[in-house]
Amino acid sequence: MGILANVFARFVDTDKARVFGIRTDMLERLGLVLGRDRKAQLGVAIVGIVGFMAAFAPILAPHDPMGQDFPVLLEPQFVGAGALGTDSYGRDMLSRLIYGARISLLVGIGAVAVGAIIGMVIGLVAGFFGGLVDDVLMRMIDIFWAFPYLLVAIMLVAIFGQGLWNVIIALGFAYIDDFARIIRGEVLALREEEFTLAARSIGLTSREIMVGEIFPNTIAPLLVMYTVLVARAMIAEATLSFLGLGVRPSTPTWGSLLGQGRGFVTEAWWIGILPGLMIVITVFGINLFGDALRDAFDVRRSEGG
Amino acid sequence: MNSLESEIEPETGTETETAAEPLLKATDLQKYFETETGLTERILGNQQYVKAVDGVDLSIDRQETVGVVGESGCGKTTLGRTLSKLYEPTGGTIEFDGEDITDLSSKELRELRSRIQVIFQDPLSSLNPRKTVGEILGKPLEIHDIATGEAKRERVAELLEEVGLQPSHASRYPHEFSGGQRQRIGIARAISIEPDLIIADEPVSALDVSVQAQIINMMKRLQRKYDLSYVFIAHDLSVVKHISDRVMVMYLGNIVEQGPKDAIFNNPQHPYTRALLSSIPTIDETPEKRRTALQGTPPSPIDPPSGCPFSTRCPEYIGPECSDEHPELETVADKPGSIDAPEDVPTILEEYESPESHHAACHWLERSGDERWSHEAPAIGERGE
Repeated sequence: MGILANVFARFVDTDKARVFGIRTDMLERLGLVLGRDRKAQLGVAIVGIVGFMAAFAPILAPHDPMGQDFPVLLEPQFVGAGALGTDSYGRDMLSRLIYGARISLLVGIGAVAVGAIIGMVIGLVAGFFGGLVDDVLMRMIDIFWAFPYLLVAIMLVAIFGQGLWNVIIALGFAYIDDFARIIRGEVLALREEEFTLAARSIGLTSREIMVGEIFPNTIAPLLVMYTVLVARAMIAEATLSFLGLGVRPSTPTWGSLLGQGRGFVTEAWWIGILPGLMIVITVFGINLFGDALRDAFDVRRSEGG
Repeated sequence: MNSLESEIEPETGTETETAAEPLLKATDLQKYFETETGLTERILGNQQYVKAVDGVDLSIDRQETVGVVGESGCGKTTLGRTLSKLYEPTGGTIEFDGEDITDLSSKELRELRSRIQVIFQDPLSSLNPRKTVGEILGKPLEIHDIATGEAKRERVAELLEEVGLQPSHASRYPHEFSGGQRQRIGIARAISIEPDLIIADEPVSALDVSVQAQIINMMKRLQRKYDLSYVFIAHDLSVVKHISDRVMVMYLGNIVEQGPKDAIFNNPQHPYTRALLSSIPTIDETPEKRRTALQGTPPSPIDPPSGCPFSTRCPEYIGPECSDEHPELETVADKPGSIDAPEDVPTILEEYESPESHHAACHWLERSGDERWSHEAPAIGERGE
């Protein structure tokens, strides 16, 4: 509990020079990158729009995404405000796409959060203590890594059953190794920095050094990794849903919409193509955003001395 | 070694006599590091060790500055970190203020931290890039219950002024400062909890010369103000000469010569010390003066030479005794080898007489000076073993 409280204290730091543990000058640098880099601007715009769609889905959606309207099955143009047609049950595609953003983002962000939290703790402990602890933890991660992540996720969903939270947890497990590795690498380097010794020399304990001194230095690479993996998790969720292993089929997610559209490609192309396009555009945008974050936060590239 | 111990150990260390006792005393201090070894090697017992500090005796008096010099890799940084208990010693004992600090519980260690502080070599690396200067300086005050809240802020401001910075700098990050300013912050952190001893590990090596002088003078001022003792680790002899009361010369994990600053600089006895001193560049170079240029690189501390550690590179190598027998530190005064040197031997002042506290570890001390100055050492490849 002490560790959690400590980590929490770091995120709500009232010190004006820091927002959510990130130095303001790094945020300024992010601003600088966004100011001159067109690709970064595009990435932020896409992520912003998708995020906005997800957040305000009930307001934005012209129709109930679950509401069936049998007279208008597979219509390219829904009679009402919906401009993108209907699916095989007569549900408004535009509304379903907007709600789908919600689920897709939630799964993406949530799954990576699961992986990040567990992986971060493993990476911190392995890197900081080294020796046997490191060997045992990292060999475990190696074993984990040997399984294709989708296979792990499918296995976990098969065991725990379908459903939103199960999908999030199943996918999250697949990202533990990525975070454990990157954090361990950072910690190995940071451990050798003299400020770690300095912290020891003023009387801090190992735990205090690990949480209070080393962890804040891993936030930037953590964030970059996080964004990149959110894109991957969204694709993974789409894959699971496409295979029918995701959330309940009636829940609109881009992956399940894509899967359902498969049967009607010849009669009603929009059902499959539109969610597919949404996935492509969103993943593209998140990756561009991730690149911008890396440009702004990568200490090695921009902080010489 | 016996002569050294008898000098620094008044033995009857009662509370009232603490003034006569050294502040810090290390006996036969060793620090070995395991080399990177595979699992099978470890099981077979082929673990090798880097003998970074290999049997060092030293003592530091109150308000004294002891300079430790030696080339890169000679173990001086490891010595400093072991003395400050940042590294656990492999062997030997350390006494601080009359108490054995070799093995301490974590609580006792925290207490000790408030009395021994460290200044690091790389001023940027030694400051956490994610912390403001105020946080960096405030942390030790919090840990050792010196000040919190408003009192802490005031103390941080005082400390910043003490080292020549502005109180407003407290809200800035380390990368916003120059190298010299960063080292001032490192020094402020070290004095924040008013320790008795500061181990300064090459505190000015990373700084340019004009800044070096400012930092050194500030350290001298702080020493007087806070009654500090310094262990000043450096490879720059002119800096060491300026700040030290006593100087120790290290080679391959051993102390090869130690004594008052004047003795080391005016009457160096160990061939390695001479080589170090003659390597100081001078402006009025007289070409006749014999410069001792060392050949080769120091041997690996994993497998040091069996006899004198310097025997593989020594320009004054005598014979098999150098390769076979490890010389102990002995008092230089009255040894036949300490008599006058010929004029062309640089750095030796002819009329200087070494005090009792000047020690060197060299087989030449037992031999006559005349023999020494006419001796031609065999080439490096033709030595025993």
